[in-house]
Amino acid sequence: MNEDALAGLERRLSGRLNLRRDLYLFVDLVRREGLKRAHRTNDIPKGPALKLARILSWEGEESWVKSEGSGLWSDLVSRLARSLGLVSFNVEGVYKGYTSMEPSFPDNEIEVEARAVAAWLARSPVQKEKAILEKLVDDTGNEFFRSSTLHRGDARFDSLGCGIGPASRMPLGTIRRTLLGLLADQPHGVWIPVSVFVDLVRTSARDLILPPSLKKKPLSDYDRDRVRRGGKVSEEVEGRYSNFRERVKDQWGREGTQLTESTPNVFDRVEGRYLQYFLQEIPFLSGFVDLAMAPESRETIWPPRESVRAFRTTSRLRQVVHGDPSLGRVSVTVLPTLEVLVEAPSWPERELEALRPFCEEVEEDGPIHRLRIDRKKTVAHAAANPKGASPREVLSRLSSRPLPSNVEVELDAAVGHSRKLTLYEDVALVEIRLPEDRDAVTAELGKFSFDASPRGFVLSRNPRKTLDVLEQCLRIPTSVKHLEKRFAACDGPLGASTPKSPAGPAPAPRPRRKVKLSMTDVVAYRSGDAELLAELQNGLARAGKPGRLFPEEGLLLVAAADLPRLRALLTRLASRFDIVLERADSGIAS
Amino acid sequence: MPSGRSEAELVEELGHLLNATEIKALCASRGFPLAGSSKDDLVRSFKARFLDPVGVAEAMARLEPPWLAALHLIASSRVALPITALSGLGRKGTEGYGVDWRSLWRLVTAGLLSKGVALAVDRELPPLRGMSRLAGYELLLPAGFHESLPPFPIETRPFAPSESPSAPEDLLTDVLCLFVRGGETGRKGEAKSLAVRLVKLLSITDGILAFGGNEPATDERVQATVAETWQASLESDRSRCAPRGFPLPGRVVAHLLEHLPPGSASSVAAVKRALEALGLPIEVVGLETFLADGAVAGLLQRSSVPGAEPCYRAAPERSARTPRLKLVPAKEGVLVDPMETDLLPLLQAAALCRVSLEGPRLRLVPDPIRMGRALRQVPDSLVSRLTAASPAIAAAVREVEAREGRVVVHSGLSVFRVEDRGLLALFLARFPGAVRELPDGFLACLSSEQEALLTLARKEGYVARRAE
Repeated sequence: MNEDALAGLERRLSGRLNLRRDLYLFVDLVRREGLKRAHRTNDIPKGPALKLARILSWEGEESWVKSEGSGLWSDLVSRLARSLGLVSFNVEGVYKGYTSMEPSFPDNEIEVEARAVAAWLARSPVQKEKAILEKLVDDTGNEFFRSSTLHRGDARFDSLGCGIGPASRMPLGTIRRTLLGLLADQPHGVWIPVSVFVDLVRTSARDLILPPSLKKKPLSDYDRDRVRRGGKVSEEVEGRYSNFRERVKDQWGREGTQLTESTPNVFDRVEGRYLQYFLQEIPFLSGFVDLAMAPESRETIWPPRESVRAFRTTSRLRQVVHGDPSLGRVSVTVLPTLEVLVEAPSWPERELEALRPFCEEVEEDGPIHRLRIDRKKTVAHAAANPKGASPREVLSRLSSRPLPSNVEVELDAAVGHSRKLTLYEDVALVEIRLPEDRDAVTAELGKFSFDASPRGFVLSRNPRKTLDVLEQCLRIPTSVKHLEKRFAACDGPLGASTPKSPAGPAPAPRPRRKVKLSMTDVVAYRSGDAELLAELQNGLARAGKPGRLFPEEGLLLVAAADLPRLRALLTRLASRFDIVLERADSGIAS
Repeated sequence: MPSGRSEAELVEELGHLLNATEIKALCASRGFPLAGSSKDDLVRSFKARFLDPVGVAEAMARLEPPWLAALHLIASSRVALPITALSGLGRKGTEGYGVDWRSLWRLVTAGLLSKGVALAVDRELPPLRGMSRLAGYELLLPAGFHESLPPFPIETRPFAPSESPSAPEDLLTDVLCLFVRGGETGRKGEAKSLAVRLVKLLSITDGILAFGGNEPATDERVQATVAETWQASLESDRSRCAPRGFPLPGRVVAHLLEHLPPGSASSVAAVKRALEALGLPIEVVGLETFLADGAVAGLLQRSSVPGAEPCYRAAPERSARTPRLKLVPAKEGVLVDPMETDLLPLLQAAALCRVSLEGPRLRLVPDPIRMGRALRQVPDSLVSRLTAASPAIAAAVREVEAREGRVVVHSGLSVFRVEDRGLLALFLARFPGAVRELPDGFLACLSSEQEALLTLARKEGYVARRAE
C-alpha cells in the first residue's frame, strides 16, 4: 500500500510500546517506593500514576492520568505483572457494609514477589516475551465486544447475549495464536491493507474465528446426566452469527439487523471486523503492528465496518512468534570514561538489574542504554555485600571486551574503600585485664566472639548473653553500662574522663552552716543620657528612696516598690525629655 | 512530672490558664512586684519568681482551711492530683449527681491557683463521656513548696509519749517467723494484718530470697516497702465511692500525721473527721487498726493519756539498732534462726547465697555467681560474720575476690574498626568526647554519636560494613 493510499488516515505507531520494559520499570518503582492502590476503585491513584507515566512507554498516559485521575497503561502493566506472579495485590475486595453495592480495597499495597522477580530476570528474553504474549492471549477479553485498551471509544458489537451464545464458546486462545502466526509470515515494514488480511484468513482459515462447532449448544447438567445414563437427548443448535447484530448508530439491544449465515458478505461483516479489533489489541499492545485508522466514521451502520484500513508489522513480531534467539543479543561495553553502554534489540533487564547497584542510568536511546559507574554506589554496594560478586567481576562477566585498566583500578579502589570501615553494633566489649585470661575467655565465649578484636579486649555479640556466659564460667565479670551520651565512670581506657581525687583520706565533712539570703526586687533602667538618669535619681532621693546609679554603665537600679514614684517622675520629665521606654529583652517600645 | 514536662514549663502553662486579674492576685499573694499592668508584664513578673520559695509560706498561711486541706491533699499525692478528686467542692449547692466542672475550676482558681501555691496541668485528654474537658485538669505542688506547708488543719492534743516505742525490726522478725512457719503465703482465714500483708512480699524462687522485688536490700528500701504496704492496708468502705483520682486513703493519713504542729498528735476520730473534710465521704473501716499497725511498724508514734483515746503522730527518724543475725554453721553454708534475726541482714546475706527452708530455719549456701554480682553491695561487717561462720562461704568469698575485676564487660557502646589512619584521626579530632581509641585500629563510641560518625565517613567517601 503506497503513501498516497495512506493519505488521510491516522497512523498509530506501536513502536515505542514495550511491555517487557514497562514491567521491569514498574516492579522496580514498587520495590523502591511502594505503591498502594485506590481504596474504592482499586486503580493506580493519580500521584503514583503520574510518576509511572513519566517512565513507562505509552505516550498518552500522562494526559490520560491528568484527565481521568488514575492510570490506564500503568494499570494494565500492574495487572500483567500480577498475572505473571511478579507482584501481588487484592483484586476481589471486600464488601464493607450490608448495603454496599461494590467491593472496597482497603490498604491494598502492591507487594513485590522477590523470588518470582529473580526467576523472571533469569529467563531468556525470548522466554519472557513469549510469557507476556501468552498472558495477553489467554487473559484478554473477546475483541468482538470489548473496546481496545488504547483505542477507546471505538464501537463494538452489542454484548447482549454474548455470555451464553456461540460467541461465549469461541476458542480465543487458538484464534489469536493462529492469527499471530499468519501475521508473522507477512513482510514487515510494509503497509498492508486490512482487506488483504481478511482475504488471507477467509481462504486459509475460514472457520477459525467462528467454527461450525459453535452452533451446538452445550448440554445442561440434566441432559448430560441423562446421556450418561444412556438416555437420548435432542441437540439444540443456534446460528453461529446469532450474537451479532448490525444496527443503526445509537440503537442498542435487540434492535437492528440480525446477521446470519445467509446474510450477504457475512464473513467480511463479522470476521472482518474481528480482525480489525484483534489488530488494535494484542498485536498493538505488544508492539507488533502499526495501524492506519480510518477517520471518524460517517457510516450509519454500527459498528463501523472500516476502523482499521491498513497495518504494518514490525520485525519484533517475527522474532517473538518464531522465538528468534537474536532477540536476546546484548552487548555491554565499558569505556575508559567509566561509562557503560548496553546495546540490545529488546529490553536488557537482566543486565540492567546486574548493573543497577553500582551504576546510574544516564540516557536511554532506543536500543542503547548509557550508564555511568557511580563511585558512591559502588562503595555502598561493596560494603553491603562483602561476600557477593564484586562490581569488577560483574562487569567483566557482562562485558564483551576486557575492562579498561583504569576502570579496574577505580573499581578495586572503591571496593577497597568499602572495607576500611566496619561497624559493630549491639556488642559487648570484654576488657581482659590479665593477658593470660584472654585465650580462656575467648574459648568460653565461643560463637559469640568476633574473629577480630582489639588487643586486650574481646568483641562479643549479644551483651546480655555474653555476661551470662562469663558469669556461668565464674569469671565474676564487672558489668559497665555506658549511657547513650556519656561514658560510665570506670577504670581503664573506656572510663569517663573525670578528675582523679587527690591521694589520701577524704577530708571529714564540715557541718552545714546556716546562712540567710535576702531577696530584693529591683528594676534596672539603662540609658545613654546621663542627665536623665541623674534627674530620676535626684527625684527619687528627694522622696527618700534614691535608688542606685552607676554613671559609667549608664545604669539606674530602682527598688520594685518605688516604681510608682519613678513613673510619676517620668510623667513630670516628659516636658523636657521625649522618653521612649522599651524592654531591653524584647525590643518592644511602649 | 506529668507528661514529661518540667515545673518551669508548667509555670509557663499557668500563665495561659489564668487571666490578668488572677495573675495580679497571684503576684499580690506571693509578693511579686508589679512592673506593669499588661498581662504580659504580669506573666513575665510571676514566671521568673514563681518557683522561688520566697513568699510561699506566707501565701499558704493565708489560705482558708478548706483550701489548706485541699493543698495537703495535693501534696499527699505522689502524682499530679486530678481535679476530680476535689469534685466534692463542685457539688456544693447543687442537687443531683453531676459536678459543675466550670464552677469547680473557678473555685480552684480563686482558692489555690491565684494564691500562687500550686500548678495546674491540662492533660488535654478527650473528655470522658458526659464530663467536661475541665475534668481533665490536674493539680501539682512544686517540689520546693513542700517544706513551706503549714500544719494540716486538724484537731490535735499535746503529745505524751506512751510506753517505749516498738522497734520496727521486731515486726519484720515476726514476719520472717510467720514466713518460715507458714510457708511462702499467709494461711487461709487469717485476718489481713500488716504482718500477713508483709509475709506475702517474701518469697523464695530458685533459691533466691526476695522481699517485694529483686532490687538490692537496703534499710531505705525495706522501710519504704513496709511504709507502702502499711499505707495500702487502709481499706475504705466499699458501700460508697471515693472521688475519682483520690489518692490512697492510707497515704493521705500518713501525710496528714506528718504535718501536725510540733509536739502534737491526733486521735482516730479527728483523723476520721479530717478525711471527711478532704472530700472522702466515707467511713474508714479499720482506721484504728491501721494506726495501731503504723505504731508497731515504727512509722507512727502513739500517745496515750489515761482515760483518753490514743493519739498518733508520725514517728521521727530513728537510728537503726545493730542488726541481729543468728548464724549456725552447717555443711556447705550456714543455718539462720529467724527468731533471732532481723530481716535486712538476712536479705543482704541472701544476696550472696541460695536460700532454702529447713524446718524452722533457713539454710544459706554460697552462690559464686550471685556473690560476684552483689559482694560489694553487702556491708563488710556482714561478710566478715558469714565467712567466720562458714568455711564454704569463706572459700567462695576468697574465690570471688581473686577473680573480681579481671574481666570487665562494657555494653551500650558502638565499636568501629577503622583501617584508614586519616579517617581514624578525623574521628578522634571531630568527636573528642564521644570516642575512645582502642588498640589495632578499633574505636569505641557513644551510641548517640554513631550516626554522626557514619555521616562523616560517608562525606569522606567511606561506607561502613556492618559486622554480623
